[in-house]
Amino acid sequence: MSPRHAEEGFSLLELLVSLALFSMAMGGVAGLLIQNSQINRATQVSAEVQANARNCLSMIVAVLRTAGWDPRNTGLSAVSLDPTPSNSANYIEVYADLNEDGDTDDADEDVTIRWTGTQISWRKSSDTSKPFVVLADGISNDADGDGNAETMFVPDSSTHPTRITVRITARSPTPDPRSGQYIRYTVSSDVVLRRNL
Amino acid sequence: MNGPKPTRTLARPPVPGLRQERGSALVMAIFVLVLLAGMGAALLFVSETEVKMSQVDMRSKQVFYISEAGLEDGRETLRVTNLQGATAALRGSLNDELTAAAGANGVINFDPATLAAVYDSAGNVTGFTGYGDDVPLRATTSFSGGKYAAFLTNDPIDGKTSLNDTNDRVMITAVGTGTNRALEVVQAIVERNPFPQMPATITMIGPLASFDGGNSNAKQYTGTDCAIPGLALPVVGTIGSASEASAELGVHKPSTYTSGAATGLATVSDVNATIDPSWKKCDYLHDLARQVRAAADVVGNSSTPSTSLGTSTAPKIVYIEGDYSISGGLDGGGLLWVTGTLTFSGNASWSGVLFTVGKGDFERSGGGNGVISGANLVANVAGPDRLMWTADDCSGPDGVVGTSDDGAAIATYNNSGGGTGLTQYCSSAISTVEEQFPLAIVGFRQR
Repeated sequence: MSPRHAEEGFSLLELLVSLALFSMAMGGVAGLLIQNSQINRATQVSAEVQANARNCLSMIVAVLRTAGWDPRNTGLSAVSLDPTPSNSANYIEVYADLNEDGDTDDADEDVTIRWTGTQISWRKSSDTSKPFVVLADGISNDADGDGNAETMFVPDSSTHPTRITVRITARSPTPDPRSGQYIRYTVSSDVVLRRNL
Repeated sequence: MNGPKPTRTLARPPVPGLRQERGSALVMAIFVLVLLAGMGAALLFVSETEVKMSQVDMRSKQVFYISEAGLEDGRETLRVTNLQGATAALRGSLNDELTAAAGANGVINFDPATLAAVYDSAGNVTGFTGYGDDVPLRATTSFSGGKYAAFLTNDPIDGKTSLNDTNDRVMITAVGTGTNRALEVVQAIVERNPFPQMPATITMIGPLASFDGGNSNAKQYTGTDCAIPGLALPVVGTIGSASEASAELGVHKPSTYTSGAATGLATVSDVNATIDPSWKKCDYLHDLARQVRAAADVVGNSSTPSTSLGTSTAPKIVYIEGDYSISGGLDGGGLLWVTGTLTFSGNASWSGVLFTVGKGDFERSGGGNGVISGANLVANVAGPDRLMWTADDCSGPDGVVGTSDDGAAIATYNNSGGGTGLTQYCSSAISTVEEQFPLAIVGFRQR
């Protein structure tokens, strides 16, 4: 605290120059920070989108694998396919006699999985008055991004399916601010209806 | 330039402040660094959750396939065990396998609800528990980083704990474990008979039958079974009376046709009402083709050498895509499925089942003394293009799927060559083929 120190203080010019330099540096850092946060956000969104699609697919595949479980040999069909899948909605109905009593009237034995608009939902009952439960939202099912959704359940044969390809495309709710594009993530799985091997 | 002076004087008193100002660059730098590091850490955290997510996804897939491997292993074990039965009666039923599975107390204790994995202190699977003293079909086996085991019970129609299998169907349950205590149980109902009873020595599916038995007086056709006394089936079985009438046109030497007491045209019968309904379904035949292809020891084409085929002592399941020729001297055996034209030398013999299903054209025009013992089935399910596995399969003459003419079209069985050959029904040769066949999965579930 000797006066000598005080004499070594900055001049206004020095201060201004240092301030300008500092703000320039900070400007750069801020840009970096903003970009960082954008990437961070995009990664987070893409992780969410992926999780959405994957979880949904694994739940559907588990149901489809058991399609046609008919331990009492009643001759039930494995699936009913949507006769007129459109680019705004399509469904599949999956039958399995889980409690082995010879019908598909009980809980979880008759599952209708559908995609409408942006949602995948299912009704795990033969009772059509029961509501659909939403499995995932933000599903565009538009893998190529041409604005038209593709069919979610593609059988190898429309009359006697033995293999069904399930394809789900999830889309981020908002476009990625950097590219202006939506983040899309497509997962697909080929499910062999194993009951006739 | 007096400016600096007042500044100096102004700046003079708060010396500690000046020091703070000086140090603030450092503080700022640290602050920025911390912020950046925080951002980086957050980014890492996000990608870490992503990695974890895909790990969970991978684990669940892995453990499913491990359990399915257990199921396949169990299915094959059951087939081989059954095939090794000492007597035809033991080979002909799965009762002895069920009794073996029941263990010392003679009761099937297995219940998928009580089935659990046993872990050691490090969290690794050492085995499975919750199945009483049952003998697993496949004991705990290490596979692809996990473990599996397979168990045998009866099917729900017979009652899962019943030791008496009345319908040739049993249930195999397999359990698989992977890393992080992941566990999966899959079940399948498997059936011993790959196809229903063969209805005739020569079964011709379709609205009409193009049959030609030839003009030889020495060539014999018989529906009298080679093994079971009193069993006599039609020599030619057709679907519907029109088809029967068309097949009868090809019976040129009626005296060479016998079936039990019946001879001549009486051995050509409409089996529409008595046949297992599956045989009449084009889709079933199509499905069966796929099953045979999947189960075949040899999948080949027209250039597959005849040495690749089974013999009467070492039968095989052989699936041929397209046309195929069998030359004289062959003593073949097992199941042969040909989707194109099967040209069979008059001198070649076969013990087992010949499926000429696809184009549905069996040609045996050369003379010879070969013996075909077992059963034949010809069906044209390939549609107008006569090619199997195309879109017009099972579509009938108009080639359009979904119209009333759908199903099998006219099939051809031409055995017009001379010679002393014999074509006979033989249930024991058919059984030998069926024993070769893997147990068919008729139901599958993931629990």
